[in-house]
Amino acid sequence: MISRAQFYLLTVNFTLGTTLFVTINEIIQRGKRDAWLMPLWAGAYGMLAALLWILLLRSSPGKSPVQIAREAWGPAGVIVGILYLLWFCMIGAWALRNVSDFMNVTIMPRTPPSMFHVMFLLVASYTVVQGTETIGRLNGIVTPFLVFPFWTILMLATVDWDWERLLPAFQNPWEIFRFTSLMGFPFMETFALMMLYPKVRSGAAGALLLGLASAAMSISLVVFMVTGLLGPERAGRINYPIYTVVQEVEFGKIIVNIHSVLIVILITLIFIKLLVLLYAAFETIRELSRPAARWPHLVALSILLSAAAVVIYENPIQNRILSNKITFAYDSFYTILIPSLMLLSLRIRRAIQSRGRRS
Amino acid sequence: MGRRTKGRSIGSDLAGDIQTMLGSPPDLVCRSLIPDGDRIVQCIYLDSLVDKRTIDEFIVSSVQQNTFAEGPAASGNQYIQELPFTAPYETLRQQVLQAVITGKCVLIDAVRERLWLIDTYNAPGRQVDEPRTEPTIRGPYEGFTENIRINIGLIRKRIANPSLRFEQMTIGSQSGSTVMMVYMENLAPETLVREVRSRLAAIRTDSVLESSYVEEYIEDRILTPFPTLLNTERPDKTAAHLLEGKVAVMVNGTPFVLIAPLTFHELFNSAEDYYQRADIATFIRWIRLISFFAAVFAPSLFVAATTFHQELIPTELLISLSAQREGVPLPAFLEVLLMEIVFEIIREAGLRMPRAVGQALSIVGAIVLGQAAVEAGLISAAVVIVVAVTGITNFVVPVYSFGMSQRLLRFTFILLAGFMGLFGVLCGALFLLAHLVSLKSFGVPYLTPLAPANKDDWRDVLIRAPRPSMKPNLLPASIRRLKRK
Amino acid sequence: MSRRQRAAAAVLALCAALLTSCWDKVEINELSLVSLAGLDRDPESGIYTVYLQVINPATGASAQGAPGGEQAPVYTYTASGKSPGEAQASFYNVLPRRMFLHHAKAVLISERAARQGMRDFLNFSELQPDARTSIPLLVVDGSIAEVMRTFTPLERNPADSIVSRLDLMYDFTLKAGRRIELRDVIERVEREEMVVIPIVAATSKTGHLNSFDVNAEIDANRNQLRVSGGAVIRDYRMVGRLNEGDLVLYHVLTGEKGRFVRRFPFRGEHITVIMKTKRMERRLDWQDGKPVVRIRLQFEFSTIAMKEYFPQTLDELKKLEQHLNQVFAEELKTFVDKTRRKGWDLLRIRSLLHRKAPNLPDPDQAASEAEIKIEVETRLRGMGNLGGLYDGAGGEP
Repeated sequence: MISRAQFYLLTVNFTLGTTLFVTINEIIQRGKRDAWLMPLWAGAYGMLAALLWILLLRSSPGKSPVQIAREAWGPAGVIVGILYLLWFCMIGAWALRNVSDFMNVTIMPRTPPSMFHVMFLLVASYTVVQGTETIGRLNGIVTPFLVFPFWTILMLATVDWDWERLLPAFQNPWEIFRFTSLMGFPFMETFALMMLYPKVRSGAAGALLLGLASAAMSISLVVFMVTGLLGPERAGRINYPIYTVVQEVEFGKIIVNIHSVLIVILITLIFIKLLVLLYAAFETIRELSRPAARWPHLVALSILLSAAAVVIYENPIQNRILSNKITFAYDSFYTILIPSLMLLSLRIRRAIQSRGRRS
Repeated sequence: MGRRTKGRSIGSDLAGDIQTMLGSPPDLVCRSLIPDGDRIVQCIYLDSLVDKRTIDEFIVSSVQQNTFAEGPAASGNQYIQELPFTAPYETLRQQVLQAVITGKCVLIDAVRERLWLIDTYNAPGRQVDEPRTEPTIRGPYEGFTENIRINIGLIRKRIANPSLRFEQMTIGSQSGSTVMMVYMENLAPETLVREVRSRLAAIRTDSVLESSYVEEYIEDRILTPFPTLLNTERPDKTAAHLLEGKVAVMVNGTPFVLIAPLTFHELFNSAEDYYQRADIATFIRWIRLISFFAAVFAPSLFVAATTFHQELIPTELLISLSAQREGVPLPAFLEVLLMEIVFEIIREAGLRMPRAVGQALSIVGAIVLGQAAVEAGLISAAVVIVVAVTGITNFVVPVYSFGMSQRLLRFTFILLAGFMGLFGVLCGALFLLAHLVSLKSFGVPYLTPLAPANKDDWRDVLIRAPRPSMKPNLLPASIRRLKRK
Repeated sequence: MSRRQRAAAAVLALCAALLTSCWDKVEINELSLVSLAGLDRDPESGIYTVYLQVINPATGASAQGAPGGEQAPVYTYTASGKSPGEAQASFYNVLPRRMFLHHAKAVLISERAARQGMRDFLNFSELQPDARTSIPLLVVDGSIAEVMRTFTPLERNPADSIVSRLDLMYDFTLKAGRRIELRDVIERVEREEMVVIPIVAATSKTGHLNSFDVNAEIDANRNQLRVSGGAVIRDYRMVGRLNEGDLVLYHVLTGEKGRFVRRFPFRGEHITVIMKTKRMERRLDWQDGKPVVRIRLQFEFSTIAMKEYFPQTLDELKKLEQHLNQVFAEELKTFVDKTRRKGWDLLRIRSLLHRKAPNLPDPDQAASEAEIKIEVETRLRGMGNLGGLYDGAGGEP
């Protein structure tokens, strides 16, 4: 069992995970000077979606979505469970690929990507084996080491701040609503956290919503700062704007390059995301087949994930097209459509049952 | 063996049997005392284990003057115990044998058919001395000794409280060592006491010569570099932990006492923290924390920065390091690894060698391996500095066994850094953290009160708050956790 | 397999992985630390030439006694090709160590390349993840080959020497600005603004000299580099120059904060004033449908360098201040008019209009028609060590 605070932190870190890495430039490219509004709006949508999930999980307390699927649809629920398993693996592989792409582009160009995947999966598997509490505590103890350095570095970077970069503001405020994939990634992906939801002692719903809100605000603030520090012209084109921001900070003459600190922070955030996804996938397996041993399944999952991470997309351009065109529909299927159907059939089934009992 | 007649024969038989069973050792003494004409009282003891003054001045003289107490001694009395003469001879012999080898004096009055065991244990050993591994500047200079009786006294001296409990048990089928469980009945959580008791009772071993024997049997997880039981030779520290509701385990024959449960932050606390001013103690605690990170991570970060992420190093320093490395044959990773290994060797040699050659060794270590290696261009100067820093920071840690785990971790991280640079170190660090948060000591999460977080207890973790501002009578989070269960 | 065997197998596999190879590993002494990069493009043949100045670590502070005095502190490598990438690739024909650009301190570009357009170079350097764009860009007056092969005395690394001078010039003379880095050029140009970057040139030489000769020569003005003047960049192209005096005015008008020295006519003579920029405000008004930009500048000045005149009374001071306000405003106005006549929008009026009135139909037209009004306010803050000047009268009035 994990506490409410731990679940809150997990939600925030999961949402920030790869977002701070890969979507910032996309957001700024689309939203230009008003880009910082986009995460807020997408976050609000994410919270609405979360309300649906909470409704679903409250209808069968203590059960995870996979278990609910089996309750609602019986054997057909197993298929849903397998779909979810694949979806979790898919997002996990995506997160892994983001790590290796980033490392290859920035500081370690010649290391084979699979090495990054395998190392991360090894650590994540070990953590998942230790159980839910370990995940919650690990995240809890890591968070302060992420939050304070991250914001300190960004604050220090504000020596280059220029308000002119954010003006003129609110030129085409509706443009921001057209970037739908931001709703899918990162906000709808947080559905993976619902596998942890039943393990939270109490108040998980509030923690989830608050976590989504905090994450949306954090992303918005980061976008705002990146825009003000790099200008929309550069930030929209540079692949990893935060990295560039920090790369260009100089403190006096001595500490010129502190971007490695940032790399560590961002990668740790992705690790948290991967951890939750691996846990979700593993938990799905456990709920579907109740295996006695843990390691064989985790090893299998790791092999699957590390292989999927290599083939998930061929090049960054394909990645951008994939994530822009498909993400929203793809994620909606898993996080809106299936949960709504499950909720509906649960309601119907219960209505029938209670009528049967009455008569 | 056939049934023997009671009386005179049983005394001499017993004495003879014991002599044969022990193989007629030179220190076995069988004296025949004659208080009055017809009576002979046999007195058997091991000369090397008993207090001869007690025997001569008290037992022998009182028997001879016929003033020896003849009333029925209470059977529960540890000091004088009477065995029923009517018991089967086999049992009697076994009990007497056991008594003799644990330093008791056996009195057999064959005529009046009585048999006493009198505790006269006084094994040779050190007197109370300064603790060797945990010296302090301010605070008591007493350390535990190898004698469990003295150790009990040292604790009693500090806690004059009727709730203090000592539970004795004998572990080790061959050595038959005395192990003592100590706790405060009113403070220690019942679950904890029960857990320790049952884990101790479950030990199946032939000998217990040191508390580490016990430690390995009762700790929660064996595959971990971190100690999950605290060991100390300071009675004041033990008393402090007992007063926090923890349980101590003492083993006869060693000054090291085990304390359970242990949480990670306690490894950074020294007894002296509580005898110093709060601000100074806080500062020193932070120094220890920094030293811990330096001892574990400094060489690996050095390797990562110099062989993978040169952009991290300021330009001037990079030029200087580059100049130092001109002509150095080994890669930086191997340089660091080799120097660390050499340092460990010097250190181990320094511990084990006779005191008299210590001077020579430090000269060899410092000059030959440091200065000469640098001047010969085999090792770059920066590496020597890094290794020296990690070596020194490693000594800062107040708990010796924790220092050992740091050394192990350091090598792991050097390997990881040489393998994948900062990413490797990061993976290692995450693995380590995952391991730490999953670790438990007698059911208490190892990282309490950091994860799970418990703000009330932070006053004695990252800082040492002044005593008046700590909540009075607040047991540590680890113990409160157990009490809730 | 038992649990223990499996664990052992995992550990072995890990060790095997550890032992295989370390892909990105490179020892420090296998790197060539580039401190200065030079870029050139021949307009006729279109050949790109890249110069890299690499630090010689043996001359740095080393642990082993005196640094090698006879060796050059830096070596300049040259490579050329049909594109910057090709030029970069052919460096290893001559360079024995891996190129390491992270610690580059400045980038130089030849004037002819700058006049043709520097977008290729800037795009190329932004594409490289290891090349930082937060370093100054300078235009070379004259031959870039010569500048790249010139040693500097005192500060033996030419890149350090240039960067340090830029800092000092900013702090004490305002002849260099803060926003002269590669990233600033990119950002400004992308916003269709103009930007001025410093110019560097080699000073007169007495033959071909090595580092030892340069450091042994007493006349430090010869045989080295000189940073002076500014190159005006529009749309990644150098379109003109500013002399030192105009450069100061340009920096004042663009809101750079710093100290500078200026000589003003006063009562038929000249006085020298040390000024410090305090505040700059720009306001946009509309008069008869035309934009009016009001620029208000506040300065603090000190009389430390004013050897000609010393105000004794408040009245005199007020007069001096008013005089300075008026003269300086006129000078600034003259400068602005001069540059606008050339079609240069150095004050970035167009961007200002875009920010304040984004829906103008023709911002270029509006910007060129905008009226600029400059107000100057000066205030005495610092005085020298004297309460009055020595005037040969022995203190008598």
